[in-house]
Amino acid sequence: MANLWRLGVLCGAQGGRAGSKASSLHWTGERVVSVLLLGLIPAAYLNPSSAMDYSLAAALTLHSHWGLGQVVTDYVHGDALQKTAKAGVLALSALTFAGLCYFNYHDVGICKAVAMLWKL
Amino acid sequence: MAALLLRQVGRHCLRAHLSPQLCIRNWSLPMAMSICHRGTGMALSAGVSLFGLSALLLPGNFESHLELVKSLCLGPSLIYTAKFALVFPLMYHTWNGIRHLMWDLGKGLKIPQLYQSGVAVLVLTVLSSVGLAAM
Repeated sequence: MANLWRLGVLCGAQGGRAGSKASSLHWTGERVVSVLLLGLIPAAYLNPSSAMDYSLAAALTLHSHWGLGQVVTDYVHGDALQKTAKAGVLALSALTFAGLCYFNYHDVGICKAVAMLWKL
Repeated sequence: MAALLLRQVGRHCLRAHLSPQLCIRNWSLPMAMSICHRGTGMALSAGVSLFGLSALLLPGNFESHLELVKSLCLGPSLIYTAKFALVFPLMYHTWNGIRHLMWDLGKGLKIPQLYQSGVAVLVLTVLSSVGLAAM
């Protein structure tokens, strides 16, 4: 209990309780998306559909976006460099998501593509 | 005695411009598996991004690309190996990911459990990869 209070004081000194709340929500969000993605994979195999294609694209890109964000946080040091790296990851994730949606709309879609690839 | 040996090993690493932690620290299974989890994650991300970007940038549709691969007339063992190479990092990351989620629930954090779950993940990875590549 005393530790929680200390954490609150620390966060208060570093820009309000909002900072730690946001981080806590981010952590929970990461786990939720992970579990979602875990469930989507067998679901996509058993029930391939267009809705599944788009859900897979969204969960996949969000999971990898947050994962790469953690890698940047761990290895890229310094304010300016970290901001640039994070912007780069955002750009990559956005382009990847756009590409996957384009594939789902104009081409066979993720589920069918995996099936076709595996029949090779 | 051990300290002297460790210092020698560390010095070798520094000469090779490597971080000394890589040589001085005793490698453990959980440490190696953690690095592999990150490595497979980054590799899978790169694969997905490459797929998405090539859908946007490369001419031709997916079927035409598959036809190109078919025209190479690759042997079945090569195709199996390629499928295995695709599925192996995915399976490792998935099973180890479940292990991570278990830790987040507060389960299996004792040291012997770490090693047991680690070995279980490795066995499951190999088995599921072999199975999926054969499909």
